[in-house]
Amino acid sequence: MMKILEDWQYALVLLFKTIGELRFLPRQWGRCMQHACNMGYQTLPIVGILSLFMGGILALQTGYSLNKVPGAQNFLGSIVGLSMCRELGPLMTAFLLTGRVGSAITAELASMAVYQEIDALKTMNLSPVRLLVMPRLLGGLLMMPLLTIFSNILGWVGGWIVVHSVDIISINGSIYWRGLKKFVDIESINDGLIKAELFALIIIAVSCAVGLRTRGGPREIGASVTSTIVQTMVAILTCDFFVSKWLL
Amino acid sequence: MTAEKQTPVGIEAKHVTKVFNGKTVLKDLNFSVKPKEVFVLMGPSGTGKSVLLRLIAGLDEVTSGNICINGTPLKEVKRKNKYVLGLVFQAGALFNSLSIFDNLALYFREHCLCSEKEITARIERVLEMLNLKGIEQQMPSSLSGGMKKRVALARGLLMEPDVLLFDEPTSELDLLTASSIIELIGSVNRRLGITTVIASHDILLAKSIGHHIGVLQNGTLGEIYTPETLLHADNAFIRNFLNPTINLDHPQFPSFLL
Repeated sequence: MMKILEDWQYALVLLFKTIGELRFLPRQWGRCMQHACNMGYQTLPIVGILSLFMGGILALQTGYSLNKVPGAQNFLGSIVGLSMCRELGPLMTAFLLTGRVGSAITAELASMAVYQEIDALKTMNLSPVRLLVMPRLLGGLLMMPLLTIFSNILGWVGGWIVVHSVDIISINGSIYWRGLKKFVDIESINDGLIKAELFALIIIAVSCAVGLRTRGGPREIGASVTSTIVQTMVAILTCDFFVSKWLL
Repeated sequence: MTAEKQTPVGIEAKHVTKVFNGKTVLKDLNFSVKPKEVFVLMGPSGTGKSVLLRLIAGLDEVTSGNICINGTPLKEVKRKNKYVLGLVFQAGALFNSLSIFDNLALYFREHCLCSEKEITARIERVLEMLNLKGIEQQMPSSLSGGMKKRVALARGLLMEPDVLLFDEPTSELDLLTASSIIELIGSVNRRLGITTVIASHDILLAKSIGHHIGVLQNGTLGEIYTPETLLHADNAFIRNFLNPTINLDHPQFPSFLL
């Protein structure tokens, strides 16, 4: 428990140090874009597939339950639309980013720490925060909203496919889209994007903190990766609850 | 900084103590390294040689005492970026995700020290000097241990350091490769006059290029020797360290293995 608190404390320190290094952003912009592209490339296919099925499952389960109440299925579009953009889109994208990107960041930085590459940077008077943390953090902040929007759209499409093709749902596609358009406003999408940015901060900061604090050998690298995933998921869900409460 | 680069740099350690998790690793060390000289820190494994190098490089902080570079406390040296301290790590610590060329160019590029053309010229010159020409586009993982150490030395030299620190430069190398590394370090010191501190347990290295030698024993540093006086040291520990006796009838050999 103490180690987790220390990791979170160090993650906060890294965030503040990154703010201090922002003056070097123009020189690191290439690296930021490179990390953003890598994150997008690694995560986009899996986000697409899972979002499509998540939207479909949501429409199927909700549609089946609403079937018992006459006329209630007309709200299916709004339910899928709001669930995806306010909650499931950002949350699922965050979990996937943790698994695909957060774990890779921790493994890479932990390996650099264990094999003294971080020390080598320090002896060259180069800041690990500037070279390693800031580009990843900004890359994550750039890519997370795009991935979330992509996840929302695929989720909505997944819901529409189910509405269109499953017999127990008695509404047609146009009612689904009309309901979705009526309830999903810019504010709901923005709320989801605010969450997405906060989750990205948590994922990258915790992944970098755990990676940079790794000491020992190859075994500790593996332990750090596991620790990152667990810590990040706990932090994301805790943050999600309080942010949802604040935004509602 | 450029003006000070012309002046050779000396190191002075006064009452340096380092405690890790309640365990005292280095106890009240006092020594000085004169400008342009090669100081070799010897001692068995686990006596704190690498810890002391990390303290001099500013990677860790002393628990008490202080280390000065030309009379300036190390903290101030680091803060003002007054002197360049290059540390060549035991395993090289090359950046595995970068090619050899990018490894060597990183320092210049990040500090915006010179143009890409000048960087290429400098790297080519140093690689030629170290017999490493042609490996620029290779990745560190494809190099042998000896080559990694030489690339690490190249990276250290390219920084144009005032002080060069080496952590076990000849460990895990065959005698021939080790002697070529010793020759390199010696010639770099002789030709460029860079103050050098080497942590090693290699007596060949200490005898060949060391001007002064300190032997660490349980975290303490006794007398400072020259290569000649070290071989005739009136100290049982040092005599045993330099000429260990090999006992084939190990008294604690477990009976179940017999």
